[in-house]
Amino acid sequence: MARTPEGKRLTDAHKRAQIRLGALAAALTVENSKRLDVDDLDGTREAWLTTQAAIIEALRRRSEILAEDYLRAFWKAEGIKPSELAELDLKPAREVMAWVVPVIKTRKAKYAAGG
Amino acid sequence: MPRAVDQAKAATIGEAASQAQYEVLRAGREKVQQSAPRWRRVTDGNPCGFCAMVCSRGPAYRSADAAGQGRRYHGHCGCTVEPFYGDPKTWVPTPDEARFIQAYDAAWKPGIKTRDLSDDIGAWLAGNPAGSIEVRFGRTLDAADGSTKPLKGHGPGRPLTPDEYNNAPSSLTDYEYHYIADPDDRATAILQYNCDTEQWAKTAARNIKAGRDPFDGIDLEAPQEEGFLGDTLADAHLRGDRYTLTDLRADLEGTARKLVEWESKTEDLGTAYKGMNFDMDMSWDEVRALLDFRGLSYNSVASDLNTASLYAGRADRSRSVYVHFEDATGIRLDSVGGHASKTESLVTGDFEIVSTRIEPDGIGYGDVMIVNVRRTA
Repeated sequence: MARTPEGKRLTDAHKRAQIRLGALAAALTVENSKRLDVDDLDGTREAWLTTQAAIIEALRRRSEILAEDYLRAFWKAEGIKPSELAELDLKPAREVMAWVVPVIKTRKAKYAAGG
Repeated sequence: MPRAVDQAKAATIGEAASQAQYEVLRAGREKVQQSAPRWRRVTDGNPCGFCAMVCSRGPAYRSADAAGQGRRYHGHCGCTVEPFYGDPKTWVPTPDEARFIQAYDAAWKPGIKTRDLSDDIGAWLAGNPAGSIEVRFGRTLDAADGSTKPLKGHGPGRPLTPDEYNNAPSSLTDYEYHYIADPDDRATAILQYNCDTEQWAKTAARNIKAGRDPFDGIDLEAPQEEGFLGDTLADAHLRGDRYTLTDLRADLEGTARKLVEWESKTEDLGTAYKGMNFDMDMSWDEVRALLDFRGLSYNSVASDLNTASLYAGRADRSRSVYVHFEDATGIRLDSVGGHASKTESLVTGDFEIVSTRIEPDGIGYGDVMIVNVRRTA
């Protein structure tokens, strides 16, 4: 919890920036879905997944940088001795999004069967 | 008509977009979580039961692993984390967080499973929207007759004991300002408790400054709008309660004179926020046309965006406007409880709009208008 007005301001600004980044990720994901042809999922999957993973990785890095900048500025504003910034070990975005095409296929089959 | 397969794709991509949002925000969250000594979850003001439950615990988490919550964030989750430094016992819940704690207390039962608990908390919050309940943190005020009255507000002070909480006044008119002996506290209460007294006192202060009669243009006995103004002290007077019109006039004028006195001792408020909401049927152009901060005086603001957002309302239910004041100056009010925000201040001076923009609220409800204002030179 921030103890100084500047700390509060930085925290609010960081929150807003992160929320915007999340909204951008969602919007780009919807936009990128145009690469995925529902009638040719196997043929279009690779191009979609490569771009989708790149979107997430790039924005993750941006999210990390925002957080690092925020922490350094926050510590300085609050007069706190800086800690060592943690190194993240997140699951690769490609793996994270791998479920999408199989799920579309399953649902497609379900709909075709009248389910 | 869309084909079923296209609907299957659209539904799945919707879920994928939600996950992408989560995965991106996760990087920033975990960076903060793992680098800060302790951390707490901060909600967007309208959380699910699970997030409210986690939020109610305050700065209880030393790391993502210790908290074990990293995998429990969900799509369309508006929560973020904030580092907390110092003794966690010094944590003072915000009004939102105090409400989540009440929800937790109401929902918790011995042996209840976490999922059931979070569901029950969500149901309790849905049935008790923000602003509809009292929160339990407040201070004790000395009454004119020498007795003391605990207040249920969320201002600085100690938590009330269960007995104090149960015996504390539960409605606005119960408070009666005669119970508040200190003139500063009484004036603050009048400025914070409800829209009528607040606006009347501010108008009276402007009248005094302009050399007019304090009650010029104020009709204390005008019919009140049903519901919204139903708890005003004027209503108490009209119902024949103990609080008389003479009492009301004396308190309003006393408050107005306090305001004028305090205005000579304004202080730097730094960045301040104000949440406003307008009718959903209005266009953004119509909203923009109503925004005029010239001649602004005694405008209630909060020092944190979260508090201001409570007054801006949800973007799918109103035209939500967030006003950012740069380098605000004004009067810092020390909350005496009730409906007040512990961060509330009154901005004074002339302000001009620097910019307006409309952007998604970031949590999926709709667009909000961001308005930046600054003091005129």
